[in-house]
Amino acid sequence: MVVEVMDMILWTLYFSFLGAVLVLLLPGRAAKWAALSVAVATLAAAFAGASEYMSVSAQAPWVTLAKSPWIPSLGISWHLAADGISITLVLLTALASVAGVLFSWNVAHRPKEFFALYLTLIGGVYGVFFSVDLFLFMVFYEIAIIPKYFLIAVWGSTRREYGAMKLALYSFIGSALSLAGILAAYAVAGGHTFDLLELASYPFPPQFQYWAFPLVFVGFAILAGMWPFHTWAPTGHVAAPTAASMLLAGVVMKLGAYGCLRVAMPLFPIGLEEWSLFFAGLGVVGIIYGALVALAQTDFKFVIGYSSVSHMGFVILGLMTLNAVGLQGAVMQMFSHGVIAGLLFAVVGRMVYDRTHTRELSELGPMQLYRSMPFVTVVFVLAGLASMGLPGFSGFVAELMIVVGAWRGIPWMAVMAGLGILLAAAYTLRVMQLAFFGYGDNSSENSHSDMSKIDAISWPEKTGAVLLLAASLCVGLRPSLLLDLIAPAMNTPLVQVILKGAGS
Amino acid sequence: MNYGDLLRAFSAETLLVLFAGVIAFADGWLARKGRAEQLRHQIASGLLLLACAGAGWSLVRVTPPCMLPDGMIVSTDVGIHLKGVILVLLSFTGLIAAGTVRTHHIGEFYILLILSAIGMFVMLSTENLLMAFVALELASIALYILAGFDKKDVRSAEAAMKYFLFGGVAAAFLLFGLSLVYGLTGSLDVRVVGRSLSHMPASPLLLTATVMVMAGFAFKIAAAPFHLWAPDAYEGAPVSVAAFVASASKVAGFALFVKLLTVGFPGTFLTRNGLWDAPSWMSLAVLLSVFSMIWGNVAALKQKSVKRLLAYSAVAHAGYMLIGVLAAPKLGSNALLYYAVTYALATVGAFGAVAAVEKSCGSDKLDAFAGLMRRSPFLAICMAAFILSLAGIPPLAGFFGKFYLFAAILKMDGSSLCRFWLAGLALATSCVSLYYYLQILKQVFVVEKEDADTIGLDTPLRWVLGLAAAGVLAAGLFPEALLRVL
Amino acid sequence: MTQTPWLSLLIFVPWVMALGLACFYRKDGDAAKKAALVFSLLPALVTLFLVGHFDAARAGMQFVERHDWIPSLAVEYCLGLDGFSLPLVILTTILVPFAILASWQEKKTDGVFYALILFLQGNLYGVFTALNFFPWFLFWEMSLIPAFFLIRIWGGQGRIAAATPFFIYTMLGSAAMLLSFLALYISVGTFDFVKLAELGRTGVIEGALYANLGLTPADSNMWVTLVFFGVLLGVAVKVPLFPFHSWLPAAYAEAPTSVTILLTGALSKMGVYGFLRLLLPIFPGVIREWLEVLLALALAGIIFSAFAALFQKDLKRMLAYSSINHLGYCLLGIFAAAASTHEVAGAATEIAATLNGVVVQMFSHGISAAALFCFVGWIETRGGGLRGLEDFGGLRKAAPIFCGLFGISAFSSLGLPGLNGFIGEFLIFKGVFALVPWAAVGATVGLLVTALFLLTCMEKVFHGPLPEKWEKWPDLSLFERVTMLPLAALMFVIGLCPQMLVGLVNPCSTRMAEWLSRLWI
Repeated sequence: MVVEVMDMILWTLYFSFLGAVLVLLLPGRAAKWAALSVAVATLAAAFAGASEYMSVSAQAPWVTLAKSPWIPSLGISWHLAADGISITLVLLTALASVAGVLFSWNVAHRPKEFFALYLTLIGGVYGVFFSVDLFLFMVFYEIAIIPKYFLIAVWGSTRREYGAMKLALYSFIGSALSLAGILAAYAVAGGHTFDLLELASYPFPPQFQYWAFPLVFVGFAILAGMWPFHTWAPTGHVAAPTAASMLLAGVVMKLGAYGCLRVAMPLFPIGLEEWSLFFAGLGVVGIIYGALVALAQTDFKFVIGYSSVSHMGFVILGLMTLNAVGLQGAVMQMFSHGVIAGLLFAVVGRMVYDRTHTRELSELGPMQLYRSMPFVTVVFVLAGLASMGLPGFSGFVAELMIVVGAWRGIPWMAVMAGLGILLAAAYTLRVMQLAFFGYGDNSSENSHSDMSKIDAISWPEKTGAVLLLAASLCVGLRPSLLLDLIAPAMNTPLVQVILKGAGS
Repeated sequence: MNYGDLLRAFSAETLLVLFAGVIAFADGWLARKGRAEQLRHQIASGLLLLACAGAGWSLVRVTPPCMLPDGMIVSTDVGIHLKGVILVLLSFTGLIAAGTVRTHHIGEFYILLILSAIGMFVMLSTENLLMAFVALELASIALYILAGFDKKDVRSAEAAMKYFLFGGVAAAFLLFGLSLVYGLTGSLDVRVVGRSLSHMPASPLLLTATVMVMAGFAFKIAAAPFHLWAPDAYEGAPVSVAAFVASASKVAGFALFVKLLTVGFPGTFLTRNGLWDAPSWMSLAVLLSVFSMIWGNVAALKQKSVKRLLAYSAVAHAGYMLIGVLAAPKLGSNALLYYAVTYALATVGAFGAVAAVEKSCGSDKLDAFAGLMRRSPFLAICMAAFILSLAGIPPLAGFFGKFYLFAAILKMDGSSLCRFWLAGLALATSCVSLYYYLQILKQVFVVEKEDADTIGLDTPLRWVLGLAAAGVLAAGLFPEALLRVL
Repeated sequence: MTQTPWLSLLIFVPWVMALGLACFYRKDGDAAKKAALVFSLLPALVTLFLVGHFDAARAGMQFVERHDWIPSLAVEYCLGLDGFSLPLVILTTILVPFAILASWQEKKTDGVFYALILFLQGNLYGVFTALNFFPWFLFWEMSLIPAFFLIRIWGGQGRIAAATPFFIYTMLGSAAMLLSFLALYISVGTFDFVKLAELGRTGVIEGALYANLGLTPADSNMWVTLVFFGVLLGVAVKVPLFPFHSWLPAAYAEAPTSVTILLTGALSKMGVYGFLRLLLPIFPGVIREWLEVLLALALAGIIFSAFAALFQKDLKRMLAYSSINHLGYCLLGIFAAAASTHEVAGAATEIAATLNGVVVQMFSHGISAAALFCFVGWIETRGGGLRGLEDFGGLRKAAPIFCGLFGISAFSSLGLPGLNGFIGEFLIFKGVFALVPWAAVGATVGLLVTALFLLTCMEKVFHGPLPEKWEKWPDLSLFERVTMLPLAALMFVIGLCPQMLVGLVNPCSTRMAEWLSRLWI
């Protein structure tokens, strides 16, 4: 059933790519305003689309947005669709992109290119979330890789070229793995369509699924930061400029998780069942490992980087629970982590680093930033609390649902995940103290006066921070805002395949 | 078929020859008048463009379907479309050359380009072993000379020498192999050869013939381990020639060989119950492909000269295209030709960009590209399009090309050829390739250069780059349009 | 059920006020202090209304508010008030303004400090009234945050070493508790305390846990035990139950006075309330099964902390240990209430008495510990930061009123008849003695030692020769007297007419005692 009004949400995709061109055409001074207006427009389109979806989701949880042949000789079509899962992630992307522009307000170095690449990246991300045709999916998936490289390599900081290259290669390797699996599936299914819906209903032989599933899943999970393929994440995050690390953690890692959920899992349900325990284990290892490593970092941004690995471990675990609650939790966690990690990176990269020019915790501590930057401190504390999964914030609901899902199938992993929550509290608390409150006594009058020279927090930063915090709080206090979107998606064929596969 | 028909059938080639003569006269006259070299370049390249346009028009309008006995000339739609591609590449090369080639023998340069193109035309339309060989040599000999055209640069001479020696040896191999085939089958017509070979039991003689043909083939397309001439030839030859060698001769070469192999060697088996239950040339092609993908990509990692880098990447791409050759007997050469054409487009563009940079900085080293974005945004963006297409990044043509190739090889059924492993290796090596392609783009976009002087592009080059980039993008966005004609 | 959401009002008014303080009085500490005092009194009006309209004869929940929250997870926003929670709400209402007054002279405080206190107040109300695990846990965790920052930023020298363990311990408990409740949820499909209690009483929970989690029949018991201990860990850390108490002395000692008052007076009650609201109704069987162990832990807490207090040199640490000791009686009573009762005559009455005692003890410990910590705070201000037991002496001569009021609080704390402390301890001992005699006997050791260290403290600080440097020791100012007067009055009132408080609790206790005594395993 094609619902005409739903076309609205596709404008997110078009706006972004058109915006990228527009930014290149405008003079450099206008770039950020243009980018902001484009981002806000996509946000509006995303909200409009979400509300449209809400109104039809009961009858039609799966909404086809566009379908026309593209490369008929290979059975490739321009097939875009949306369900609650993709709309949730589109909302996240829209939020993160607005915030990202706001936190890049001070980009003075080659701003045109920065925002053009930024919008291209966003556009690729939207494209992935809408794609049903697997070729199209991979096209958008890889479109997102190259802007990342440049954003980091040109505008990044610590070891930016290394981090950028590592990220690009990891992403590319991941997509190559997935591509291999997808092509194999295409060939095995007779080689006449790349349409996900059709392929998902093809009964692949179990022997094939046993090896094709891990291939595609790992390929996507690399970008989701699954242990032990996560090593690109911390270095990439650290090297990236603020907006890029916000997008990396906030959105790009979700691309990987989305790929797992949308492509790998429904295509190969038998393989999924075979491997689910294994990957759930990797997810749990990621949760614990990421948290432990975060606990030992001396660089502020690395802490956040590893915390992302830990949080994405929850997503993997949620996906592998193979029940509706767990999957919903995983999607919630994607949203929640996107918002929160984005905010944390914004605090670290933009608010703190741009002013203090250090990210070493040992140097930040003596500055007693909570005196000179009360706003930043409050934001970080709230974001940190959200990150450690405190109730009231979105992370809690998400992790709660994931753990509920895990209890159902794999109780011991739920217990380990609980340990992960605890460790999250530990490292967040540690970094909060070290970075903002410092050790030692209040005899730091000198550093205090030093710090009085720093720039005040500007309005774009405040707006961005409030936007993201509000998103996390709204969802945390009223999870049904998102759950009403996600829950209907559990009835779509692609999700039903996963759930039924697990049941049988 | 009378001579009139024959002339009509060869109208494009005839037009090209005529224009070659016109260029010779015009340039000779201008030279005697002592006109500036720039003007001579302009006149000559203008005439070249005119020749291309005329030939193109005649391809579209005049050429009737034609079939000469013994498969001497078999014109097919695909062949005609590929000739069009060759014309496009020829005109691009001419335009690049107009601004960059340093020589007094300007007319000769363009004439040789045209002659080489004529050789390629015949390669595309023949199904006769002898004719194929002659056409191949026509194309190659012109290119040998062109490679050495920069007489002030010793590297150019080295390039020509290496290219010539290796090419000569390859020709010998090929000729030897083809004559063995002729001896075995008593025919030069590829179709007849194919029919007789498919009934023939495996014999050492046939095996030798296959190996020889494949070796000659591998030399021509610069597949590892027969690629040793390529880096030096690409680096030393004038950039425009390198562009032509890398693009047009590759398209024509692959088109010819895929025709020869699929039609002429359909069922010659290495052993009946051997390692691979496939025609013997296929197992050789698998080996060549594997070598090329690995060697080309790994060697490219260490290059500092962009031309050498592109040369090694050409080796790697030859490996990918060999996959297309493997898939061709079952599924047609569609995937291969799409890949070859888009690859040629991207390569010609990339060499065009290298030419522009080299003209401005006198170097083709990686760091000559530093800060290109600042120095010439247009050039930088075009370069990005070419390089990313070579790397296989959507939405550029290279992505779909690779995608189609891999899909095609996987679609071949049967456990032969280790198709999964081959596709896997191809994907893996293309990940490796991203590294060195990004090294170029890193220089272009990331590295900032202090003394950044802007690079001026002359209009023809600008058009070449722009059109090639647009072509790469369009072929990526609408591959169906290209697929339909190949 | 009323139309006006009184309980929500109770929670949200302090929150809004906190937000206002943080926004408008961030810099101006003095104005913030006054505003905070006024704001903190607003919930008193609501509390008064609630007390006035509370039907003391009814055992069930009153003023219930119920709204859907996350329907797919059976999460509801559900608040209610019964005899167990009302005294704690009253206690919170009293203690927050008292805490603000107690640190009136504090210079370092600013608007954020008071905002956090008000925020904490709202959360305390939330914990004491929430009837669904989800909101309850939300308030529970959110009360931790302001407490942490209050210690971390405004605490004394060792504040870092104090705040972090406090936080980590509590998070550890919370995580375990969360997991346990999730296990409960997926087994029985509800987060509602009332429903869970119903299921616990009928023994459904064990079977459901086994059906959903257990792999082999032998697991059946293991899972319910694990889940029980998860919840136990969560609440035990807060109280704290021995051996989870090691965060407490440092936290109490380093926190600023007003925060210590809230920590000991209100936050520790969250833990005891958790025992009363969650563990006892939902897992009576498991408590009974592990009775000896649990009682032993409670006893260990009572006795060890009493001795530890005896050997402290620091007044604040001494009082901190005494808090562990006093709350140990509550836990003792709660555990004993789940004891097997088929040999005890009139078990229901005894259990009811115990539970009444527990609630009264919570209330009166809140009052007297708050008063004592307040006095120590004043001593610290006057003594220029000194608060060692040996640093003072003979202060009675310099400050008789100070000494007198301190004495009243101390005696209330050690359970002198006529004062509030006696009522709670008496009821608990009476019940426990009948139910589990050995535990009661053991606990008397704690009583004795408590008396010993409190009297020692009195003696060392107020008696003996007055050192020269303390001759100018100022007596209580009028302001301080007014601050302390209501609390001192309450000690007498409850001590003399305990029925005022017990009457509120008794229906609830009786009902719970009814079915606890009928519970048979």
